[in-house]
Amino acid sequence: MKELAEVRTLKENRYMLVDEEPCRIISITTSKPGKHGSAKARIDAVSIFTGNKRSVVFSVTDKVYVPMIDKRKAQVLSISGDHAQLMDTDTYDTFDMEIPEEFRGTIQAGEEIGYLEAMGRRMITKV
Amino acid sequence: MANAFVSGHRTVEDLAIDDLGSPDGLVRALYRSGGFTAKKLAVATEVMARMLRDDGCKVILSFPACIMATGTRGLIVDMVKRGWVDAIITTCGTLDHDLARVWQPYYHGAFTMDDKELHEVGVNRLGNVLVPNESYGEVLESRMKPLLAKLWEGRGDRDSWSTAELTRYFGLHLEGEEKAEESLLYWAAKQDVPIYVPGPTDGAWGSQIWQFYQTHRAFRFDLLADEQALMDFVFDASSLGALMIGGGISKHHAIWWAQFRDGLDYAVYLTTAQEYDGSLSGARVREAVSWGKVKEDARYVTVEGDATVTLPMILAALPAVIETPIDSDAAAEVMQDG
Repeated sequence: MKELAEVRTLKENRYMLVDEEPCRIISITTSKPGKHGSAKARIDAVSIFTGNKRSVVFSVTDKVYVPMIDKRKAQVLSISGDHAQLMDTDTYDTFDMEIPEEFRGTIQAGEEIGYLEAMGRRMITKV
Repeated sequence: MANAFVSGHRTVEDLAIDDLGSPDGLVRALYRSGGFTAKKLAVATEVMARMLRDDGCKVILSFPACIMATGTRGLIVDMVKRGWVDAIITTCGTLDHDLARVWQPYYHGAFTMDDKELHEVGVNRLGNVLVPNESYGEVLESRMKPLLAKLWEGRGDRDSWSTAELTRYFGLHLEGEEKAEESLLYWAAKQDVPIYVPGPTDGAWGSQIWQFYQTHRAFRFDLLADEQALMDFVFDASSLGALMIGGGISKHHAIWWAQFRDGLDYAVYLTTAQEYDGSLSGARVREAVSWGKVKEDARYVTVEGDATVTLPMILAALPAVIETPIDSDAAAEVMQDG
């Protein structure tokens, strides 16, 4: 799920798609109109899934895609190695997810965790 | 008794104001005057005429962007319209100015204007020509975006284009624009004269394509397809001539390809650059002889001076000089100067 937004409406700590990758915007710097054309925004962003940094430059009037970020909760049913069996607390969907490195060893069966879903991908964000 | 060394050399003759009335009369008189750049300008006219009299000769025109910001653009267009040019090698800025001026005017200014003030009001100075932002990057951006999107939509299974293909695409899509007929890209496309841009990203046109690439990551320039076409071009020519206006990549790429067929047969170089720094731009044509980029027995000349002055003088006289040479082949040794 994604929607179009004008570059000028983007804000730091909000999200955008860079090369189809959902990214969190770290910084936006704009330059004046000039030989290159209308005013430009240089956007530094990091992938919310991999942490990889990506940078792009667009006209402030360009339209880019912003991913719909769904912040959800789930109950941990069981742990198996680096993977957790989870059940969404609203939809009761059960699914398997890799546990991010930072949460390995701290995550326990039975507790509630936060996860996000963007562009069909999920990631545990809070334990 | 004349010195034996100078036997066969023309004698220096004085000019008369009455000789200067017609363009070719002027250039012929400059030739007889013997003196300095005037003579070389006349030799350049004759070398150009020899290229065009030679039926098997293919002519490369190379030039930088700056002259496209002036009325000299019209002369470049006219050379293409008259069929005097078979291939163009130029810079990205040429595409910028040519396209921008289809949609917006450039203005008279002065070399001495206040550059800080100009920057504050969004006006760029190119010598004594003024280029407001809205006449340049901004208009190019707004016009190029839909054309690039259209190219991409209709791409089929392609994702790369040579600069000759892209310049032709933009030229053909000027059809219907009020000022299309003033455009080099338009006329080059109409006349099937390829425009090669070996440094395509160095300007607003290339930057727009890069911007497009940020959302269409498969887009590629196929520069090697340009090289392949240039290879065919130089080998298919029975003789090869070049009018090189200014230096840089456009001049170098013309003579670079000429070396593969043992050099240019005719070369005219119009420049303001100096030789002492060893630069390609400063090199006289004779230096290219050492590299095999110009033939040892080629007819060539370097004319020092601002091409916005020297080119119109040469072109004004050229039609008449094509019909009636300035000098006979007996004077061939003076057709190598500079």
